[in-house]
Amino acid sequence: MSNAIAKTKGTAQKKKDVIESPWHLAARRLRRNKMAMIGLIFLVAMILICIIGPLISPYGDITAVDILHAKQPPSAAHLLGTDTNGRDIFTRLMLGGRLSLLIGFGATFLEIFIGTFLGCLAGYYGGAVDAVMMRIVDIVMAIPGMPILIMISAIFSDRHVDTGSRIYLLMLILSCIGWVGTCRFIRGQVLTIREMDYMSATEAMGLHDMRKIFKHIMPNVFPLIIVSATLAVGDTILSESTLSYLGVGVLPPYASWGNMVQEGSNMIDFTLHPWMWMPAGFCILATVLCINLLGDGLRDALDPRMVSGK
Amino acid sequence: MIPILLGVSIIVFLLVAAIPGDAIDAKFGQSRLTPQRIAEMKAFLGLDQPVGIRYVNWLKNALTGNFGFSIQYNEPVSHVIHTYIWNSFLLAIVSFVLEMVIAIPIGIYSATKVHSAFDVIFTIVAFAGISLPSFFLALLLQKAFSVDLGWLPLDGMSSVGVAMGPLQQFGDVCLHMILPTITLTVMGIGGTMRYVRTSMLEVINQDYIRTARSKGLSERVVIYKHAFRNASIPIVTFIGGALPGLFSGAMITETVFGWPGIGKIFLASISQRDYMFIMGYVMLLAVLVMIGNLLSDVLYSVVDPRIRLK
Repeated sequence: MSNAIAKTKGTAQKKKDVIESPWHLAARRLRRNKMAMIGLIFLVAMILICIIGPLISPYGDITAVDILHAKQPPSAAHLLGTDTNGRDIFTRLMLGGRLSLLIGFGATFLEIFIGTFLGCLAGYYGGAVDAVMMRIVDIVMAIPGMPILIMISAIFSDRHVDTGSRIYLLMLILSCIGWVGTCRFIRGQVLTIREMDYMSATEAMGLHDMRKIFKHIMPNVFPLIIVSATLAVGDTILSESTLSYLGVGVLPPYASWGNMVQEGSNMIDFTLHPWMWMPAGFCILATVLCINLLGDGLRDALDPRMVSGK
Repeated sequence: MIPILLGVSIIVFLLVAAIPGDAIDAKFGQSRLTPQRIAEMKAFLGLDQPVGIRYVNWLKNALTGNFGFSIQYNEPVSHVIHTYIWNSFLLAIVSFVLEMVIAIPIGIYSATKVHSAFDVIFTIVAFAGISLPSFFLALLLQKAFSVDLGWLPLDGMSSVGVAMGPLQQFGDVCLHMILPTITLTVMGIGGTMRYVRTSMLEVINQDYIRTARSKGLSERVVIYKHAFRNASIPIVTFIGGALPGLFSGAMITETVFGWPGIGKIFLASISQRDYMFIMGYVMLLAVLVMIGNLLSDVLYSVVDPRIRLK
């Protein structure tokens, strides 16, 4: 009896499997993962609020200074109070979120792009290309990330780079440090894929190298790229906020969550005006936490070999 | 290993040289020394030479164990490192032991009860630990336990201006290190917990575990004797690889808590243009990373007899 049920279930399952693409299956697995879904929903909400919020807010001007209303506690007019210059903290939080998320996603996109491209080349061509590339990767990996980031940022300060273009330079240096991990990881994947039978088939068909790499290898590493990219966004946001907290990342008048925490770091604001620095810190925590939960869920969903405990 | 360290030293030296101004400017720029005297001092320290020559000089000295003179402390760099590294080590070793004692049992238990309430809660806790920016956690702890409750000292390593016996002194340092230790522990515990859980999960679904269960062994024996023995292979290598890192200092945590560790000294040395110390510290970190990798490779073959056979 139970056997029969299992059998019908099995065929039903089979029918479904025939219809569903791997992406559909992954999406279904992801939807079943409650924590990942909560992370995803919260993250999307955070992004939307940060993009739309400042447009609606009556305090959208980042350079406006209103000393008369400085350091006010939360009230109906200012939901989270005001900062040293009398600017609305809730609005600055959304503006800061824009930058922190922009830098997080921007730098990660760059680093994944560079890492994947070079990793594919190294893995596919092997030989001298691979050897040179891997030595470079070894060296960059041995350089301690945070101290170097702080040093480079300090150089920007000394060279008086203006605060606007600093944001883009920050993205660039974050990705310069970060690409090596992706590169090595992708290279390893490409090395195994290169040896598979269907790659011999592409060889026999006389396909162009670039077509082999981008049409036949890339789709197979893509799920892994998505997972490591998601987790990398969280790390990048943390690095950026640490640099901004130290005063060498995003500088005022631009708001970022890191430099908003820093604004409350003098003793008086720290002890008496917690609304000036706490919300920004919790924003970092919540956003990075959601990204990590989503990334973990994606890993379970996209990589069937690593399914946890089922 | 040697070429990698050489590569790292070249890159870091170039970066340090790219910071405008030098140690003499930072130290005596505001003083009434004549330009002539300043030039003499620069010549004495070799700061007037081109970058290439300065690097070769540095390298020659470094190979004989002389890492130059820290202009900030008027002491050889190796002395400065020796003075402060033990403070960092004290924090790091205590929090490392705490991390292991807490994270390993929780990781194991999570893996045996996948998707239970326990597992879900500690998954979120682990991810929260990974997602917290260190400076924010440090500030929150200071605010809660030093400012609001007044239980623990705000910063520093010992109370100033109080005469104390050796035992009281020891108690004083213990009291001062509670908050920084908690910070470091919370930061590290999430990663370890997840690592133990994953290692355990990989083992727990294997056939020999089912065999052990079907023999009628008690669940405790199955988990701790059969499963954990094999799961501990990656865990031991993970711990081995992390050991050298205990000497590397925690820049942000030490700075927020005013703990006189090597990381805090490094952050200060950047604004002081203490070239030689920056170089010495970054190279120390690079060496520690390499020793860590080496250690975990060696341990892997020591712990896992299957590797030795190959």
